[in-house]
Amino acid sequence: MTFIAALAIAITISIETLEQLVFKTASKLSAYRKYLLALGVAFHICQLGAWFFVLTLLPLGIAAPLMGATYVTVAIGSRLVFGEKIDKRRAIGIAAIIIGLAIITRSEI
Amino acid sequence: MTRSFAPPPRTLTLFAILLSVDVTVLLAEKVAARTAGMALGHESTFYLQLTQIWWTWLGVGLGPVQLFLWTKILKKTDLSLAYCITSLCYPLTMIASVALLQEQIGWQAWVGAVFVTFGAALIGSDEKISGEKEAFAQPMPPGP
Repeated sequence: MTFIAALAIAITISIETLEQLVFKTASKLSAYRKYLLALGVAFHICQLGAWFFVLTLLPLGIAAPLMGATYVTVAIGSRLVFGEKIDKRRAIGIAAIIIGLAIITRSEI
Repeated sequence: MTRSFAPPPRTLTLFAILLSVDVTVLLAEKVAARTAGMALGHESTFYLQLTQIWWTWLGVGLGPVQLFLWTKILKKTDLSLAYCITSLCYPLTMIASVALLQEQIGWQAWVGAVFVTFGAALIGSDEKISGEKEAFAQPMPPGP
């Protein structure tokens, strides 16, 4: 995988993670809900733009499973921002995804 | 209210439709990006091109359909099961991209995707969340 493709997918995953965290925050902070929802929608549009760019660099069959990294970043982000617990089941899931991502990125792309 | 783990046939049909729509969205986005990709090097032109390709609007337009189906599924089954089944979107997308877009995917990527699918299903399945109210507070699973 080229550096630019790795960077593009990392940016897409980061924006998707922010989007999920903002929507979760919106469900908790009713006073700022409409602003946070607007921010979440803005992140979604940015994520879509970044995703289209990723698709010009990588095959869909590779890019799609790489986006599974979002499960890991959202779980870690939720731990850091909301103090949500990462139990044994989720920890195993995170480990499995990281192993999967490592294998995919080492495959011939 | 906790429901039986095995969903009824009607719910399975909804899952099948949702997964089909998910894969269709991704295929449409890929075709749109591939078509507009000719203009790469001029990013503003690329995004302008995207807005003029109907595949882009097919992908974007199916977003509300995905949300509708997801909400409908959550009315009928547990969130944990819904997350597990929707994680199948990854291998199904790979199969579709090989079959319909003639993409070449090495065996390592398939093995990696199995790990990612298993991990996503495990993270998404939380046996503590089974009530309808809690389930509705959950967004659609992250991903492509």
